[in-house]
Amino acid sequence: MREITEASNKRSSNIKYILDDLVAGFLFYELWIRLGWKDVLYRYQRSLLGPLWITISMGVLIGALGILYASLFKINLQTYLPFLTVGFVIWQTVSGILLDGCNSFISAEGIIKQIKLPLSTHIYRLLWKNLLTLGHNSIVVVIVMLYFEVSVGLHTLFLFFGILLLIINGLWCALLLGLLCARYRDLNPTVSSLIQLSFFVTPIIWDPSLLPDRKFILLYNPFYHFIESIRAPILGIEVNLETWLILISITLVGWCITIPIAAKMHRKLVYWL
Amino acid sequence: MAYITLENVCVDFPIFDSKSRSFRSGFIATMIGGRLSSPDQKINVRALDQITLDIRNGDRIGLIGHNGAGKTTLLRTLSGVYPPSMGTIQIKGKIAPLFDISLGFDMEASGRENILLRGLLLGLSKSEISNSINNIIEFTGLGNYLEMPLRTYSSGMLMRLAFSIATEIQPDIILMDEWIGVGDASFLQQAKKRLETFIDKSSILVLASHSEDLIRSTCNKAILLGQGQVLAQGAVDNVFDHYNFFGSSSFFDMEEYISLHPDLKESMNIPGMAPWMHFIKYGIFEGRSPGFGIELAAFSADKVFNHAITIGDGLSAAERIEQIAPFLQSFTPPKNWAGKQNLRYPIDFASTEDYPLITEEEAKRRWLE
Repeated sequence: MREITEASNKRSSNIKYILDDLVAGFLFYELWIRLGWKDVLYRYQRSLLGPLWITISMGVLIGALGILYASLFKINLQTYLPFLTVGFVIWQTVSGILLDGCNSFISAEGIIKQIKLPLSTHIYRLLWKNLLTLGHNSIVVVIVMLYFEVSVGLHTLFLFFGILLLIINGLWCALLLGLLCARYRDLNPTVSSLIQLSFFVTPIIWDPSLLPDRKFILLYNPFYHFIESIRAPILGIEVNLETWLILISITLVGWCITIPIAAKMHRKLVYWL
Repeated sequence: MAYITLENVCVDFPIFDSKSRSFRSGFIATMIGGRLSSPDQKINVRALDQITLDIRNGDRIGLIGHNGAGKTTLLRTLSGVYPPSMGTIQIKGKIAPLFDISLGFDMEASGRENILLRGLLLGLSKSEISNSINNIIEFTGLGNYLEMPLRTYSSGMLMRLAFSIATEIQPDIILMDEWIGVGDASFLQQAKKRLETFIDKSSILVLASHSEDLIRSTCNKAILLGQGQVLAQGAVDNVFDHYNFFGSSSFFDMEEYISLHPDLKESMNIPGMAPWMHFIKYGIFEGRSPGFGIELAAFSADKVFNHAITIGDGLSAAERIEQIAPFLQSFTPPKNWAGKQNLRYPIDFASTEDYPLITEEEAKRRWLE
């Protein structure tokens, strides 16, 4: 059980409050691990295969899309399918975190209005849910890798660095979006349509080598870098130093924006729900 | 040692319409130079106004007041859910908010799983829960049903489960919005006993209720809330008498009465004596002002008032004051004062030059706007 000692609402202490909140929320890991897992199960209640359906539907989608686009683009399935699979699975995680992030606090309204929990508990919960989904989807990745005999080496380990960056950035994105979407209810559909658009602009179903003279589309697309930092190591390609630098800058800038905004907004959140 | 201290705590609810809630208004304003769209006006409703409380170990506080007086908001502020917009709160002790004891229940999961889930939500660790899970299971009396999903439970069974979990943990501070109800009659007796020990073991109880009997039997102090302000606090009897006599938008302020008449301090120590009672029994006959700018001299020519005083009927005399006071020019309405719905200008009251009356319209304007 927790104790609450609420101090005054001085502005200077609010930044510290957010940092403490991020730690305190993490310490509720028994709660958010359980709730996140329940969120995954929720869609497949009473079904026989349960969350395995995540794996199956991803497999079916990848298989169909892969064969279709390989023949449309006239590319070798051997190189195209692993590329598509990895990109698609990571994209699902990225968009899942952003879309759930918009609803992180709105959907937890019942809890927030009844029990004082660290705000970040709800963020960790949705991150965990999306990581579990990623886990289920990665079964498809492993199967495709094995089938097409993609080589695995030391370079593959870089993918964990990419995933780590994805998690750290997912945390601030979901926190920021959760707060802003609770306040401005029109932001939610805006984000959804932007994400839909980004799917087509980002090289997931098409290979970036298709537009060698339009590199800027890639350079200024943060989604590309997040996907590339995980996809390239898996496919045995070296990740550009550029990509790592951009990702680290996004991380720093994102947190520097989010913390002051969260410090300003966290007290009002409950009144917006 | 558990305690709760509130100092000038205000809670404001921002009221959003779809306009101020979207960024469309701001966006459109920038597009068209802000001419058509009016500036984003913030409307706040003050739910708690300058609340100062000092709740100590052993206090059993009853919160009373009409609907919308701020009882639930105060409870939620005490639980840390609503951060105050002004003022400071200090709370020491483990809190158990019992507002919605079935919060977080998952209808598809088993009873046992839900015990764990609810416990985690209350901030217990898994090991703490597994220590007390047997007690909970035993008290629910649900037996094998605990392995079944919650959707198969009847509402009575759900209440049993929720109740058993809620009363198993041992908090320092219990916050309750109305008494927790329990299922069937056979369970009622057991539940009552369990709830009583549960409350006895805690150091502080804050209970909001509309039931006078319940608060009289459970609490040793009461706080009367009206329009987000503390109208009266103290011994349960005093506060209830105040509430029953003056209602919740009263112009009689116990604290102001005492501070206006410092010589009364000692007489307040007599058991059963409350400021309002003193006023009706003695003060009104001694010509003491009840506060808010009301001077009894204004009534010196009033027949109704004088008759009541002559026959020693303090209550009727006070009722007459309550009727007339809003129309006295010297009367300063308490903050957030709400006038009676249909004001009747006192035509049978003769005002004097020293204490003129204001008109009905003026009175309306003064505290209805």
